[in-house]
Amino acid sequence: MHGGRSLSSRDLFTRFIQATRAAMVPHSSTTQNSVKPVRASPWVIALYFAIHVALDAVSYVQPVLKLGITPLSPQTGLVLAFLYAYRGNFWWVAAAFLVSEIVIRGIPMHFWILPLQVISITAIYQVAAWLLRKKVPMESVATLSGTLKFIAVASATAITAGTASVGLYTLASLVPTDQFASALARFWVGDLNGILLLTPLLLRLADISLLLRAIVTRPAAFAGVLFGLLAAFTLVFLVGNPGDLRFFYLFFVPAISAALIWGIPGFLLAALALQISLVAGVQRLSEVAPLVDLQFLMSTLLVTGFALGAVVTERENSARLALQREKQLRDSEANLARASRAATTGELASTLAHELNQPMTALVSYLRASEIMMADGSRTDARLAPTLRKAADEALRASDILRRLRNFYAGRDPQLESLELQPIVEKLVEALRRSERSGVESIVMRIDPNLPPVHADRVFIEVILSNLIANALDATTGLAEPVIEVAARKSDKAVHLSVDDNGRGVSDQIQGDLFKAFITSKSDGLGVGLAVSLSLAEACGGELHLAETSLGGAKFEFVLPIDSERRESP
Amino acid sequence: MNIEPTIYLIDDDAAIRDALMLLLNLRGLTAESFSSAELALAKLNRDSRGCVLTDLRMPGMSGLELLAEINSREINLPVVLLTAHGDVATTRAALRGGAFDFLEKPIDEDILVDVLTHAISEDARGHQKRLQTETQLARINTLTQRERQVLTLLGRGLQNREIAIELSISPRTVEVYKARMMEKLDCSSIADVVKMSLLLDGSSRS
Repeated sequence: MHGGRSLSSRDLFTRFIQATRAAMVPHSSTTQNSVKPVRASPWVIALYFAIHVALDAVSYVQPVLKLGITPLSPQTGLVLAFLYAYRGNFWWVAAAFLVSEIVIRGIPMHFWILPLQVISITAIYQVAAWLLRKKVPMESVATLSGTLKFIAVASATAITAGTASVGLYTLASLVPTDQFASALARFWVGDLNGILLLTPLLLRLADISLLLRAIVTRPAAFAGVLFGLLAAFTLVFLVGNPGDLRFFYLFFVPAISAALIWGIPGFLLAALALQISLVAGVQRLSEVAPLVDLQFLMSTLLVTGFALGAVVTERENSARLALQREKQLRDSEANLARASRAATTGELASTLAHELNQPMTALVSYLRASEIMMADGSRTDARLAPTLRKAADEALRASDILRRLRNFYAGRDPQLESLELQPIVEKLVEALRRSERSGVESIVMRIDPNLPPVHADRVFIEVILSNLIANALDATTGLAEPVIEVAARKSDKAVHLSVDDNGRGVSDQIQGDLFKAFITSKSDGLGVGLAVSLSLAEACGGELHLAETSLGGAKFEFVLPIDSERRESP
Repeated sequence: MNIEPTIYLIDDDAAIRDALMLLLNLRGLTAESFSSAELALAKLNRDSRGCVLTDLRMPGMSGLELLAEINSREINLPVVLLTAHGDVATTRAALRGGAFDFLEKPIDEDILVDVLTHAISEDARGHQKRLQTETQLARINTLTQRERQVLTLLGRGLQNREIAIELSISPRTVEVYKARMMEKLDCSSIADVVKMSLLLDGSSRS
């Protein structure tokens, strides 16, 4: 019947939707805003009026006692939604009730009943709308508790409105007293189904548009639900005995599937399709079950589906929330990691700047000195040649620092080979002594002359040993008589290379974390020395640990596997 | 005592010490190098003249710690700090600690020599001033109680008569003390006397 909807009426429909949404907004933010009555625009009122009357007309099926108590009143859902969105339109709603009553059912014999009935019902719906706004805003009809509250309000509204109407009819002796209960039941179920179906559907149109998008992503499921509805309809109305409602429960399958797949909005849409087909079926077929029975089944379906849909929607929402929170958490963790990486990089850069600037400073100074020596062209300074050689050495030293850094980051694989430890250690200590670094003269070597060859990476040994010696030098700086002992001895399966000193030792505070990166007691250190050393030692199949000092400071022991041992094992 | 101004170079890096020593010598500056702040402190004393050129970051005592130590021992040498990375915090700490200047490695030789020359002449000027003050303080110490009182009151701008009332002596006697005091302090004018009284104030306060 909406087939010939003109452009202007579609406009009206859009406006209604927009106005409905606009009315929704204040509720989501504050409830205080609801003090001010909101009046609908004339267009929306006109549209409401038309739909109200149309719904009433369409659902005027199997009225009881020619009093217009039909087992279906979809207009009640519309009324509640309208009053929820525009609370200042009491009289328009009353007028719509009155007009549709007169147009569809005609003026009753006791015409005084009509205004009384219309006003009392409108008042009841006004109160119901107020109650919903205060206690069960539509946004809460996405959780199980909110949905159950909504069902309770709808049910109470329907029973109150029914009692008022049927009571008036009874008072006017239009309904026999013994039929009060059954008339009330009809009234109640009609109003209840109308509210449950249409009120959330109309007030949550935004959800429906979301739903349509969700349906597109799952066309197979949509087709399945549609097929289920059609199949159930065919079985209930065309195949089975129309008076027999055994098959009605088949409708549960598609409706509840929709609830499980798309939550409340999906279920509402399926239920709407079902309700329309029920009304159509009842009107088309000459002999069917009484609609009131169908409506009671429909109520069961609505309540069940609603509750299930709420569970699904609630779970979806909480899953989405959890996902959002997880993302936020991940974001903040990533930020933290980035920040600490930046800090580390900054520290590393500053260390690198210091390391590189040393040879650069010496290099620049040697070159400037050479320039000055050459400027005096008359004679060749004897110091020129050694100075230039020293400058070249400094350039090599700078590039060596860069190479070490690159190796450190590249984390190259160890190149294990059979190595004589003694020459490596002696060469390294010799180089340190040549550097004239303060404290190097305190280094004592105690190396077993009969060491077996070890199976390790030469560079790794050098890096570890120079790290350990550098630490010992730092620890003994400022001592009157610093002693650093570099020793190597063999045991059954390994060679123990150790660096002992009489320095400050390792504080208890950092002892546990000694080999972790960025743990340091030095104000200007990066705290990577021991961490790198440990990983290099392990890469060689060796060990690095703090040992019992015999000098009073700290003793680090690097245990290297003996080469022959390696060859014997598979 | 005529000591030649020396640049006391402190760096834990042997190559830098070697290179800078060579460069400074070639530029005609006298320098002495140390591999640590501790070694330099063993050598430095209040009679040392010249300036200190020290690396900031060293094992053991750092450049900033050396600066503080030099200040507390009243060695009175200007300190020029060398650093590989001139971060704001360190620079501020150095300047607040009384560093003469702050140079970033690698150093431009001309700037280095310029800064060091300035530091040395600053040291010489400061030394000269300290010597002068010492001489004057020594002279003030030769004054008698009365002469000292007259000096103080003259410094406050009092006239002979007012001083006489203050000290309960005759203006004639004040004249005598004043003349003797000016002779001892080698002052020719009242302006010189006022300057000396300020010195007296400063020394008695400290």
